Amino acid sequence: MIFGLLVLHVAVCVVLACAGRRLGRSSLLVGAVPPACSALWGAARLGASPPATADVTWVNGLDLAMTFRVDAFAEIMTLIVSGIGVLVFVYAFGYFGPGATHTGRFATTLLAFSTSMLGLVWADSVWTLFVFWELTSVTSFLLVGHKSTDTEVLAAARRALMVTAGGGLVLLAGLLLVTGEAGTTLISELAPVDGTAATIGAVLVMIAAATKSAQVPFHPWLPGAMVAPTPVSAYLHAATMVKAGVVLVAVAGPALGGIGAWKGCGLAFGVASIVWGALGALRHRDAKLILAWGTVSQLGMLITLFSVGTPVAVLAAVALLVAHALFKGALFLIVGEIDVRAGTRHIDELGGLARSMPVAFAAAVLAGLSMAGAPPLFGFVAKETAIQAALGLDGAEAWVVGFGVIGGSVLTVAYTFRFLVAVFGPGPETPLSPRRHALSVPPLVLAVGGLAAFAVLGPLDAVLAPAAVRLSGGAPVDHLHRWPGLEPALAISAVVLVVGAIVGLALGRTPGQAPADHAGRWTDASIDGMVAFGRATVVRVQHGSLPVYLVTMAAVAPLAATPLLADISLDHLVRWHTPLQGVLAATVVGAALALCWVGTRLGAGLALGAAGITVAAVFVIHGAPDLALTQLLVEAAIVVGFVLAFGHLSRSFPKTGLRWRTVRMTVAGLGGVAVVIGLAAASGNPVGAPPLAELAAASVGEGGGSNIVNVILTDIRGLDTLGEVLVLATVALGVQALARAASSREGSAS
Amino acid sequence: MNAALLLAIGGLTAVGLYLLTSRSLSRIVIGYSLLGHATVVALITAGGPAGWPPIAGGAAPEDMSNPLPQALTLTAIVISFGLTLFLLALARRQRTLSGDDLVEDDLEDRRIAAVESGPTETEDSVAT
Amino acid sequence: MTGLISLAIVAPLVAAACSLALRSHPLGRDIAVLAGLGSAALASHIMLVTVARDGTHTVAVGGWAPELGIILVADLFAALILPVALTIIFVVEIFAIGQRRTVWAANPELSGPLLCVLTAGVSLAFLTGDLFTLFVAFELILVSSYVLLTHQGNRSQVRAGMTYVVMNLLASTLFLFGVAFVYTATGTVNMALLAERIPQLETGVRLGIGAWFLVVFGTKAAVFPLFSWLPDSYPTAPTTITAVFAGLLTKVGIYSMIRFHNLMGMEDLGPIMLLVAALTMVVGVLGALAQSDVKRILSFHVISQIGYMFMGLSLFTVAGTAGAILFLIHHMPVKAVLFLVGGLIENHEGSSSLDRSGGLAAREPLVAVMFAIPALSLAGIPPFSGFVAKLAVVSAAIDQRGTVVVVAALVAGGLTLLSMAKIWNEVFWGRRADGPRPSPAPRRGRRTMHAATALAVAGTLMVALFAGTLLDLSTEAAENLRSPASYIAAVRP
Repeated sequence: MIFGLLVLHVAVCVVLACAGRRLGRSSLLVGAVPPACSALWGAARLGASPPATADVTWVNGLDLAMTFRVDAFAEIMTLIVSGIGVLVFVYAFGYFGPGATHTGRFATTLLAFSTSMLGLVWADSVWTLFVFWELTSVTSFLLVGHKSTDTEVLAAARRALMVTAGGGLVLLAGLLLVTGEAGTTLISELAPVDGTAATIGAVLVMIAAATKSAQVPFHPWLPGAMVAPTPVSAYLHAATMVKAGVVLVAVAGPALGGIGAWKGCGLAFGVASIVWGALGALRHRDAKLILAWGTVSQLGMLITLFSVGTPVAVLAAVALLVAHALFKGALFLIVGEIDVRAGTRHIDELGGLARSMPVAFAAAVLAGLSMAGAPPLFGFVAKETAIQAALGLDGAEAWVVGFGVIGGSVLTVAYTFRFLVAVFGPGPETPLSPRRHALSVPPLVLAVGGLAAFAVLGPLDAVLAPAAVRLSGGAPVDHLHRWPGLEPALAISAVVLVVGAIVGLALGRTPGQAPADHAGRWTDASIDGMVAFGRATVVRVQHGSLPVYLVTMAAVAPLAATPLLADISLDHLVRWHTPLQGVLAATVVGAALALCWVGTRLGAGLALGAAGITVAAVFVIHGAPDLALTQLLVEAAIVVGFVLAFGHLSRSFPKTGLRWRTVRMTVAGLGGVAVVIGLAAASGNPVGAPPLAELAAASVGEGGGSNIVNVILTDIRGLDTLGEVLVLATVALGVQALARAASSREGSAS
Repeated sequence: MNAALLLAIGGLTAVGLYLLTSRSLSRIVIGYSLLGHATVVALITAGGPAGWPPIAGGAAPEDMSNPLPQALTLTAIVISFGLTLFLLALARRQRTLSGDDLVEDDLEDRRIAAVESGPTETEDSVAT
Repeated sequence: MTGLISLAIVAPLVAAACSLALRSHPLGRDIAVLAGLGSAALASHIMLVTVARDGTHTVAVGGWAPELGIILVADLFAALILPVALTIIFVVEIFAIGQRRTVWAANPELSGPLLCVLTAGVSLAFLTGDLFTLFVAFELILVSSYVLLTHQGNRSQVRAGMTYVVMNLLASTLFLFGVAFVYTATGTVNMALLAERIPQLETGVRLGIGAWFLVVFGTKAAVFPLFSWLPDSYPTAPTTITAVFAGLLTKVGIYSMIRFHNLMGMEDLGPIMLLVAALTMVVGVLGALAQSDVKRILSFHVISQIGYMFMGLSLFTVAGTAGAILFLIHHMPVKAVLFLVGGLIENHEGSSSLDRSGGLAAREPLVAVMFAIPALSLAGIPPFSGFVAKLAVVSAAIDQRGTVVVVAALVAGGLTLLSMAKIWNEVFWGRRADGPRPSPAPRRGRRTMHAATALAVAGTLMVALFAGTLLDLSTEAAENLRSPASYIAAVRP
């Protein structure tokens, strides 16, 4: 069934990709079908056991497999991912009016994202999780950049991609370390690990989770991603994708929770994000940005609770996960409706919406109160449990978590009230475009969901508690309570609500300036900084100048020859076999040196010829008459060619700077020395002898010729000779082509 | 191993490298030619000491020079001859296009360097 | 089997001769080239199946003993890489036929036959068991690439050609010196015999020879700091030529290193090679970030990716070598297809410059998809082949506690993604700057180009899909390479 659903998703994706243009806006409705099926399947499975599993091997040698396991927690996530997915598809149908373009492409990408997210929450193998993790980053990039002609949009898409995919690389390293230590790649089989490698791995995994879940200091990509169409913001950047990091922390918790650094990092990220995110939500003036910053804060709360890892904290986190998906999804969709109908979402330009958009207002109040943690909504239950979890801790941890949870709650209440007052408060009425049902129904469904969840807490608890048990490593978990009784937690909650409400109402319509996006600019600057660093590097290594490249190579070669120095021996060196060799050696070096000083090209040609003839003489003495003959012919041809190519330019060689000439001389000298050392060292203690007698015998016998060199060339190593002939033929083609280019397009060079 | 020939190889290599790294195409051709000489002498030196020409029946196998490096050398000579010709053709084409025989720098690399730091003097611009 | 090995080398040569003879008949010419390349590719695929089943096969050319003559060795390593390489050339040639009549096309009369000669050289380089024949094969590949690069004779090509030719001439010179060293020390150029004898040499001589050949092959492979010639030369050639160069030529260098340095037991060079690998990966990708032309960006990525393969090799473990081989199999098609997409971009936008293009995704969604898949693969994003290949080398490095090189590999992966996002944002999204529009290829040609590219993209997806099997085969090939005894036994039964 798991594979069936995934195949259905992918198949519809392909259909939409091919037929999207023709289907237009209705492709969004087609796209809603697979998530609907998945959501129904997930709902039908609630409470079922054992978990549904499926796996297929991909790369055995690397333990890469597509392994899925849908347990109690995955079922809840399925409902969130696919259930909200259906609503978002329907909503998007309304969001993009009849005239919108590229809706087919949008539907395809959105469904691709939905599929990836589903794969992620179903994954049991860490590599399966990783595959879908990266796919959500890529599809998120494509969705954020939907309005692709806007440079601001492009920058935001790039920022989101680089932070989340960069986190992916960290995750890759972390997973390799952790699985190497744990000896398994299956999340369900991960046992608690410790040790240095595991600790580094755990920290890397936590960092990766923080990038994906937009934790401080990686958060700027999330507010930036608000340039995306609202369905994307609601779905990816509130309800699902940003939860991927949280999911990772949750499922890895039982195995890594015992590592101190894991918990320390998680609390640091979480508490910092709770506070900084909430402060951002209090200061921004774009309704969507207020919600986005609120998301950073809420995600911080989730990371904090999952990092704490006690059964109560995990239960609170699971409850908050569900509650957040409902209320934040609803609020985003409401802001999107306002954006579409009012043409703005800036709080200074909105007014009187409570009257003109009563349905949206009602939904917003329900969702907002749930976000603030007020009864009788599900957010209240989640927050009460969170406060209880904080109160149940000891020592420094209690203070940190307590500060995060309680302080965060106050701020949350404050920005919620500010949001409601600012968006729906009194003011000159904003003109609206006509109502669209596809826009107003989905948020209402989600908002009422928060109320319904509170009403049917019993059955819901039966679903959430097993998930919490699974995520706290099997420890028994308390139940969720609709009414906690007269306990400290309730008193704290009351104070939080009152204080937060006062602050929020006071700030509600206060005029002010939105804060500058320093962190965002810093993130972009560090991405651009890498590009600039690249440029700075490349001008140092890539001069574009052939002589520099050649000198580099000629300098590396002697370096490579240095090991040979260790075994150099001079014992086997003889001065010469005949004194004539000494004379010839001196002559050829002399001719070569003359080539450095000679001024005219004709003189150069002559000296070149002299060197060639001397080499031919060396061959004669060495017992190689064939070589000598060939050498003479070749040399003559080259000298003629040289004079033809350069001869009638009677200009001196250009002079070069002294410093550069010294570098060249040094490198060239070292190169000469290296070759000499190489030959001298290699001949010191040879480990094999050439088969001379066999060659002679074979030549006469099978080769049928007495000139052994000829037999080798034509028969024994005939393949080399074939290659040599082909080289010459190819050169002929090339020379001809260049000559023809010269004659046909003279001067028309680009 | 023969010290005289080693000296010849080393000298040819050094001078060849020096000329190859210049900016003038004619010098590059000469440098490559000298390097070619160095390689072929190195190859026959690698085969052992000088001896009689390797003609079966002409001398005893142990008095012959090693035929295999000679065959390799012959192949190497012909190949490097072909490449030299091609280099000459390229040089000629270059002269037709630009009027001189100097190797030019890559324009795009230069453009990026200019973006990076403004037109500064780098090592190779000294070389022109 | 002997026939298959010969066919892989000879068929392209026959095709080259035929297509030269048929110069004036465009159709006959193309058919000859396609037939030659196609039959060589087909032969190589059958060779892979046979070798995977029966083990290494050798052909003694002319029937001479390995001590005397030249021997061709189709071991699993060669048999794995050869089909990938030959198939790429075949697909690129189809693209080239579609690209005719645009200003970016290579001269068809020459490019077909030369591509065939190059193919023969590639086959020979992969199959030869003889160090000097490897030199000849290199020269064959190089000389045809020189001509392919410069045959149109315009100024930028002559300039680039000069850099490319002279750098490679020096590399070939060093190769010959290396042969001289090896022959002096061992008295043979047969690789199996060398695998027996080189490990017996004194340490200094052995490592010196190993390091020397690192420089030789490293220049062909464009590793740090010997890579600079590559980004200056590749982008100037016609698209199809660049695609073949980028897909294959540097890989011949890496291939030779994987073969030579494993067979000759050069483990002691590992640490310094890992450092070089790290620098190659990072400097290559940093170079890519600085560029503003699609083809130049992709050229720098060639370097960076070479670093990954070099890293796998430098670990000198079975897992590392297997990772390098898998990376090779992944990288060749991905890189070639990216350059083909670069050609499509040129065709639709009139230039491959980032500044002069924009908004292509809306106009040509298929091109966008065909870019996105190999681009993500290049950046190592799952579920594409690059991810599996990267995971293979990185996990092999983690096993060896190679922290520096692992960090370098991951950073390079992230920066690669940034660079791909840059191309995507500027070419496929955004707005197109005003300027003269090119006259795009005729409709039929465009279809051929798209079909060839799509075929290549499908190929990269196949690599991802069958990565498991390919890694198993790579591991087996790596085991053979890591224990030279099996290679020696195959050559000298």
